[in-house]
Amino acid sequence: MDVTEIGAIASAASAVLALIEKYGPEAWVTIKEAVETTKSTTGPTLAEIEAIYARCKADNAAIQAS
Amino acid sequence: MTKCKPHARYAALAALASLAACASSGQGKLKQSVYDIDSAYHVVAEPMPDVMAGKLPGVTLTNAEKTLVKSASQTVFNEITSLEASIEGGKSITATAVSALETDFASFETCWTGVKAGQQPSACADIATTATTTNATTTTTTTTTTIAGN
Repeated sequence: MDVTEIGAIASAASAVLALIEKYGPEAWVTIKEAVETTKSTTGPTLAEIEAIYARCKADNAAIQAS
Repeated sequence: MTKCKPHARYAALAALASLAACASSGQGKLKQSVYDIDSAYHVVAEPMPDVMAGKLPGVTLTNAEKTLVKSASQTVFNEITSLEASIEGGKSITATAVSALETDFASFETCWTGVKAGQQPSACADIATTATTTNATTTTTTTTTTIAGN
């Protein structure tokens, strides 16, 4: 694993943690799911990635329609 | 009550701190990072339509600001989609692509926070410029096709 990979992984974890502080309980369910997949030894499953992607897709569609 | 319980945050920190011991492969860890950023995007993006519709007291966005925010969201979402396609297709994802997503997500979040506060941080322009530069060819082609289709 090179420096770029380690940096990318650490940054993602930091971004999630920063949101807990900033957005509070409203963000908690999503953050909790992210932390739970982190605890997995194999990382997120394809189904888990597809599920969070579907949420992002719906969010962006709603933003573009605003 | 709007403050997150400290012990919950520390529990999350402890779980994430053990990241190095989890998701054994490099690809597994990068996928985890994509999942994390997807989650972060969802947290920020979900309430945005309501705020843009003026449902948050004291916050009113101009049309120009809405356009900026939409552009920023689309840039981040395009990158998420690209990585998602690679993961679904069983292809490797690169740390460079994940880092680019993280950088643009950070700009998106900074931009949104600023716009809500009645400012237009440079992060907004940065991410809009990124979209134009990175996807210049694709955007041009798509636009032409759309116009021709209409």
